[in-house]
Amino acid sequence: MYPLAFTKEGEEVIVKKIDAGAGATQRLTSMGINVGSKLKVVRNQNGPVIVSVRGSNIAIGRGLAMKIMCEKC
Amino acid sequence: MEYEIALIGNPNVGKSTIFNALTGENVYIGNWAGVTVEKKVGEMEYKGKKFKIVDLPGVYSLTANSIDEIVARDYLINENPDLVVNIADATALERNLYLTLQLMEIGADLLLALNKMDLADNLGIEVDVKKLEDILGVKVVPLSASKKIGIEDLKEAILNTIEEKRKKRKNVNAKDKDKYPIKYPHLETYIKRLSSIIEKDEALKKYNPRYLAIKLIENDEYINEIIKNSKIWEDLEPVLKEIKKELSKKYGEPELAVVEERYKIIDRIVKDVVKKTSGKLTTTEMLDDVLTDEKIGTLLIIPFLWMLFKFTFDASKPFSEIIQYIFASLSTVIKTSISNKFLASLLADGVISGVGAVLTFFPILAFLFFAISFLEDSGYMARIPFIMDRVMNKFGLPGKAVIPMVMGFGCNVPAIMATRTIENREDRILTILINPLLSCSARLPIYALFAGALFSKYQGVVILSMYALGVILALLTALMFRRLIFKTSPAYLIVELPQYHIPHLNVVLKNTWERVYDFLKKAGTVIVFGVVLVWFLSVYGPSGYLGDEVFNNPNLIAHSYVAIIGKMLTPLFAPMGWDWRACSALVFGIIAKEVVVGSLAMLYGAGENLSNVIAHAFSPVSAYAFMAFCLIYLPCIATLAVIKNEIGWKWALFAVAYEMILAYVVALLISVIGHFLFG
Amino acid sequence: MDVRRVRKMIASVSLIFGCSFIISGFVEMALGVGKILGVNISLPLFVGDVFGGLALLAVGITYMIGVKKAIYGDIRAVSYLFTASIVGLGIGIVAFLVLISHGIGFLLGFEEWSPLKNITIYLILGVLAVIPYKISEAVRAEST
Repeated sequence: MYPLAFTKEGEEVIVKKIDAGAGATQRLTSMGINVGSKLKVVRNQNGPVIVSVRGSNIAIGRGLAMKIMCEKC
Repeated sequence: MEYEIALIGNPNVGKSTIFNALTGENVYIGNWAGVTVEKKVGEMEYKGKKFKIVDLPGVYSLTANSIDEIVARDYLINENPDLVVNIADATALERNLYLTLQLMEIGADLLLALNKMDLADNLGIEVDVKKLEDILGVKVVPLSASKKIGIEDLKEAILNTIEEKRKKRKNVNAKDKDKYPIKYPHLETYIKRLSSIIEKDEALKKYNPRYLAIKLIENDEYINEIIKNSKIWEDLEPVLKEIKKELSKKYGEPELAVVEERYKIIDRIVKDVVKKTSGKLTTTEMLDDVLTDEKIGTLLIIPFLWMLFKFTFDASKPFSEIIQYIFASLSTVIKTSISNKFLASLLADGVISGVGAVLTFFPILAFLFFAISFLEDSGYMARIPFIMDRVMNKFGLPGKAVIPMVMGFGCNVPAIMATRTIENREDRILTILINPLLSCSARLPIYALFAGALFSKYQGVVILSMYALGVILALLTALMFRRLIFKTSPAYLIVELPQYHIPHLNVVLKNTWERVYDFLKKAGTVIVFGVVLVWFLSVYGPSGYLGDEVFNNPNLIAHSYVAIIGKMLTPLFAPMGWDWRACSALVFGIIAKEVVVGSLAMLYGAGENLSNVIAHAFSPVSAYAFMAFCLIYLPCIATLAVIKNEIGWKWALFAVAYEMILAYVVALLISVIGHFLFG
Repeated sequence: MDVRRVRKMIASVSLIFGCSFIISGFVEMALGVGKILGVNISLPLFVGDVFGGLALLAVGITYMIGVKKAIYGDIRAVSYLFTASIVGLGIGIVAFLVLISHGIGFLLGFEEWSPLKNITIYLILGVLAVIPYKISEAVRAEST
């Protein structure tokens, strides 16, 4: 398990754990990112991470991306 | 009999296009009770029936995460509309269905409008509408609102669905059990246990018991409060505790159980209904390869900003000139045709020049808002927070603060309203507080006057330095307030990047008009009032009415109230070397910064050759200090009113105090350093 | 279409437009800086707008990155050609709108009209960006 912020562009991962607070977790959830959802990393440079999930692209601040734990799938 | 219909959907699903297509001209725009979220209500007529259409804010879910979500949820629960039209994006059905499921939980009478079918086609996404209808047990209407396909079908479906529901309700008196075809297999037993207790309380009748049960498991604060205050809490508490304990064992946390169940259902639906064939490289993919790149994406903000400014200021120019011309001739006409001198002067020098002052800004604002709406609708605007997030975080600001900051160069009023997209309250307050420091277009005439008069060779640099000073002060202020007042770090960025598309002209025009209208209404009245006030204070003095000659006679105006106010302030500004006329002009600048130039012209009795007079009355150092002071001191009344509306009196007053002190300190520093350097 | 030929085409089109935008950007900026320092040099087509020069430069650099990607065989080079052309087109459209508004101002008698003042480098480069835009669209249509 490693944070989303450490993934490479083009990698596909499954979310295993979200360690953010309740508010941020709920917002992630409502935009399609919950434990078990499959993400495709579209962009991961030094800034926020862009993932493609459930048909849309979501940008996630780098700090938050450190708290989303994933596993390769 | 009028039916009430609510439109709801995720952001960027084309909800406003559909709203515009359904409703005609009669749109009422106001605010939802008690909050500053915009409420739009329109009317539709179809086959002789009347419909009231309420546009709910764009939301991803119905938890209580933002004001928008609370507004939408409260409306659905309390107003109980005849039909809720859920607009979903066919290209991202998976995510959109999350809201749909929550709407079904609430027990709303639902119709699903599947928008952007044309785009889905282009992307190689096929949606089986009939199957989706069967699974959800809800009428589904496919459409492409931007191409005006399917709007008539939607109208018909709205009418049919409402009438069918009415008939059914007459036949089956009790709530029909088939209303919830969507079941959450792992939760149903718990939901039943809870709802059977909830149903016992008559006071909770207006809620759907199933909804309350799910929300209790989800640990929703708002629903928790309602149940805790009801009669059944004692019976319910031990049951709920036990359920939560069981779920915690399986899922870690009970709320995760609900989320997981919802997404499991969605995954199954999507698997049955959506077919994807891989398409070619899309426009969005190609643009995002470049525009969201860390380096080149940042670099490409420059041409976009250049276009924004060029369009706003250069393309709008002849329209401003037309308006100026019309008002100038109007005031001459009034002066020559009305014989009562007092009335003629009040109308011409006061009201007309006041309305003129507002309306000459109208084209610039309209063009700015058009450009911004255009960028928003194209999808580019959503990328800017992404690109700037890291930079903005360094100054303690969230990435989303960029958009209000850019808009601030046009006008601080709409810019402050644009901060509503920032969810976190502290982030929002901070973004609002620094906004008046960004040099709005109303301050440009002041810079142009002084730079032209005293720095003719270096005009461009001097004016640019004012803008730079504003940005630097804004960022430093943000950094300082973040350290001293808000000791938290900015909230994390979570933002959807929608597909790019060519903006729809009617959507852009409608957005532009709404914003311009908002500005005219809010700022217009204030500026007109202010200019009339200036007029009164100029033509009256302690000795009474001075006559309208004051505007041509600088010796006469020295006896007016305006002069007295200015003279009172002169000692305070003595270190900067400004005379009483400059000080009174500053007082009027509180009304609106563009009034400063007009008042200076009036007070020096200069008119056309104002810049010659200024060149004698100021030294380069005192002029530069004056420009800086004008940049920083007091947001104009319109801005102040908006700050108060958005975050309350306390912060509005804080902004006034802070900016006054900052302006004085900066102007003083410029004077002292200037005198030291240039003698 | 042969992949290698496509790559060569992307590289050469990007190179031509990249160079034109970069050179124009530098000239425009140089004139602008001169204007600020009080040295007035006037060249046809150029107006001496530092900010505008930077904008042209940014577009030019985007084209050049496309050239680099094409040479290294990255198929995504077409993205750079496409995006730079769209931004370039945008610049052209804005320049055109400004021209129209000058025309309106002239018709109403608010300002003088001189074709040389209104046909600017922004307009010309912007309109020419249609060519690489069309080429990138064609390349995209092939990329399945």
